[in-house]
Amino acid sequence: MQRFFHDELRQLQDNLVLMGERSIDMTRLVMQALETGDDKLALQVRGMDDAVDDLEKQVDREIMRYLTLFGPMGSDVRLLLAARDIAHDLERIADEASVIAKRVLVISQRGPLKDLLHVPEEGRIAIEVLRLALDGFVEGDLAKAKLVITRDAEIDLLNRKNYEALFGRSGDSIKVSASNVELIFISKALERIGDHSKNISEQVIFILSGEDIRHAR
Amino acid sequence: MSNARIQPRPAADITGRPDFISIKNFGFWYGDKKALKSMTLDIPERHVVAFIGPSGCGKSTLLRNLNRMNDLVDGIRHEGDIAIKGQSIYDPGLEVISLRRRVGMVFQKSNPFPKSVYENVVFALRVMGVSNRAILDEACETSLRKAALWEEVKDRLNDNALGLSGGQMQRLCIARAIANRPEILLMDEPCSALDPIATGKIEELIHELKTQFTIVIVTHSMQQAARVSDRTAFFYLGELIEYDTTEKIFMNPSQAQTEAYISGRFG
Ligand SMILES: Nc1ncnc2c1ncn2[C@@H]1O[C@H](COP(=O)(O)OP(=O)(O)OP(=O)(O)O)[C@@H](O)[C@H]1O
Ligand SMILES: [Mg+2]
Repeated sequence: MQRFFHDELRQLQDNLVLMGERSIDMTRLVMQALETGDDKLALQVRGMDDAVDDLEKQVDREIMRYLTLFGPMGSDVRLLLAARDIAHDLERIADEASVIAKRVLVISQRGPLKDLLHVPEEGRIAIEVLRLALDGFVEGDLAKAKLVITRDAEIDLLNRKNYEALFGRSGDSIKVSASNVELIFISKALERIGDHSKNISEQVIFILSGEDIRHAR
Repeated sequence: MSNARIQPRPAADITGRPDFISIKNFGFWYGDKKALKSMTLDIPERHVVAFIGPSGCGKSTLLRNLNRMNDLVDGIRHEGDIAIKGQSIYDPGLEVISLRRRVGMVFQKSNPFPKSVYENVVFALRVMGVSNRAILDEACETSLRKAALWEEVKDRLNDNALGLSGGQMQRLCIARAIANRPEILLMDEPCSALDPIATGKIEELIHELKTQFTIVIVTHSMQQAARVSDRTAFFYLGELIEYDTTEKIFMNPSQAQTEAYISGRFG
């Protein structure tokens, strides 16, 4: 039997999806701002963060309301617990995008960088992986969720390559400008976005199978 | 960005009259015993209000006062007033019979008459002198549909109502109350004798019915109050301790006694 309050659970899922779409938008736009040196776009991304923060608070309220009023059981409980973590990861992603926007503005003040290293590619993969994580959640697709976890390694690798391109394998500085340091921070932020996508997928796996694969060794 | 799947939340605010039922400084005695201490609360139109509290706290007493069912008890006395749409239910110009027609009641133990399903539903209309078969048929079907029972009984309208299951009998009693076209439905522990599935059906029904009726429900199940009601009143020893939105009462009540009761730390 489908009960009237199940609508509220769907509403909550919708809000998570909306948060996810906003985070993807922010990541996509901020990478575009970096690659085209578009300050206006970077500023726009910084302005998009608040809406995601508000959505996180709303999702938290809805979770608390549902837990107190509707006595959830089984997979609904898993969904609610996971939703709290997913909302938090999505909020972090939006925050990272906003941090990247700040660094894009700093770089642009110092004159554009000629070589963006592997950062554009890293950004593209980070967006793909985030999309995959979100689709895994929306479609309840275990295979997609698992794929996120393997693909996250591609982002880690590019982040390492960016670092090595500037500092060499040993870590001794070769030719590092202040803008290059900003670029490394951007690379690191993208790597963290990948980590958050991975966390989201671990939660999706928990929702679907009840299995807690966090910190798997 | 696609937001096609985002639907607006149904408005939680009050569309009808906020003081549809207005209880003002109302106190009540059975003989020398004061069962309700002076209390004031408004029940909004087309909302579900739940009365909760430990046994003997006065939930049923207040509920039965809303349609003056307590008038049948000897030695009762009240102070203060109860008004429906601004008119006192004690107004000498208001007949108790017509009050009870406007304020229907569903009891804890379903009490169908030992007659056919059909006759149970149209009972009140017959009492009022309606005998036109078409009108009765229409009222029977509409009421049974509203009570979400039509599909289950449409082929056995002439069977004795006592042959229905407990959950069906309870919905039949709701259909019987609805057939009278009341504005308010009072329910005193309507699910206490039902299994979880039948309870779920009644709760779904309550959720449906609040688009048309103002519903006051007494329940011992806090989970049920949380699920079905918009507002909740907590009573203790004849006193109204707290009355607020159901969300507030169960998520963050203002009174320590309410918190103790809803979290199972009472007594
Ligand atoms: N007909 C009556 N005559 C005398 N006292 C009564 C009568 N009905 C109820 N009472 C008393 O009034 C007080 C409130 O009773 P009421 O039935 O309203 O409580 P309740 O909250 O509905 O309890 P329960 O949850 O057990 O149904 C109790 O102390 C009860 O003993
Ligand atoms: Mg009672």
